[in-house]
Amino acid sequence: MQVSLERMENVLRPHCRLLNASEVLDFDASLVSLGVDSIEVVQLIIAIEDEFAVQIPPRLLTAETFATANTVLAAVGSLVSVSEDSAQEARS
Amino acid sequence: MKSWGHLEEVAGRLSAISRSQFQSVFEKFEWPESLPSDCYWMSPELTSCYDTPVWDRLSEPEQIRLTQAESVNFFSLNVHLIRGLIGEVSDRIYTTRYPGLSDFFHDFIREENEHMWFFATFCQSYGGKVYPTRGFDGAAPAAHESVRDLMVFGRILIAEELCDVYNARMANDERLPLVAQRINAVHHEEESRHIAFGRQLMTALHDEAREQADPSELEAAGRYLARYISVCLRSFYNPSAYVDAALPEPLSIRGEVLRHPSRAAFHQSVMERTLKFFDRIGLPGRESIAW
Repeated sequence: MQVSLERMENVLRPHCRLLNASEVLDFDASLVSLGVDSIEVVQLIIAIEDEFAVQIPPRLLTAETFATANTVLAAVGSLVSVSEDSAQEARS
Repeated sequence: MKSWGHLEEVAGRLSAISRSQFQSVFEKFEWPESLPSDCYWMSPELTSCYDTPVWDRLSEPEQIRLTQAESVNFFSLNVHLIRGLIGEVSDRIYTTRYPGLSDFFHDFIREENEHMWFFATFCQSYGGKVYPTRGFDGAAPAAHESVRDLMVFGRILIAEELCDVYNARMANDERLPLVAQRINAVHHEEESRHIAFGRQLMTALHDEAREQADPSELEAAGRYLARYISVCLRSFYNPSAYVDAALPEPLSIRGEVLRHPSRAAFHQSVMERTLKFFDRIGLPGRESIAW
């Protein structure tokens, strides 16, 4: 499983309440400025966990992780690769 | 404003009751060394998987383990709620905005501090931990002072009333260990005063906002609280609790139960009382709730 920009954007967009459908999602823009406040981020966490089948650990549930689309991408990317490594280890 | 004067009267009465009924929290409970592993710790009807195919697929031992993990999750949610609530009230004690309420705030903070202690003691003694919160704190959006306070105290009231529905139903559920029944009963009894105050405060803040704030800010506050209701309801679906109950595929379970229509109906039933109150004071936003 890969965390592509497109997949991440599909997950993020519905939670960017201040981003119009016609606007490009800037992966370096502050998510708060796009409408992802402390309430919306809880819904976003659930959406990410559902989409990528990984549970975000408490150490990553911080404002830094959810600062921008890129920081979310990096955090989820690290979880997905760990999860894939574990699955591969279990198979071998 | 009439509603502000009434608020101070109510706060005075509630403080007097709180002080006349005072008993040290350390004497209110008997804490057994351990709880039986073969009984429910939470009413099964209140667990997140109830009335769905997931629940039906679980064996009886799995159902029991789920009630145990979710009782610890429920009490952990209370711990986090109270921590935030004490912070908000502490920020307002002895301020010029709430001059007549500081005495009540002292009693409120004392009682909430005690509640946090007994919830956390249960979690740590019988669950080995307080589940971490699945989000992080954030300030309410910038708005007129009355609207901002309406969002802050609205959030508190929503969470208090939601948890109170659970407490009231479990206070006399004899299938649960005595200490679990007692915690639910004590919290239900004392929280009823805080809810009474919270409703008076919300009425006063709403009156103030209607007079002084831009109507669009009030509508935005209603939508904000509607989103908060959706998030609060989802906090009961904790994959970590499913893991602790040794259920397979915890993330899939959450997805499956959240999609099941019976859960939306349950959510509406537990929020009904609060939403009727919001309707009564004229707070908009109900249609924005994602059930």
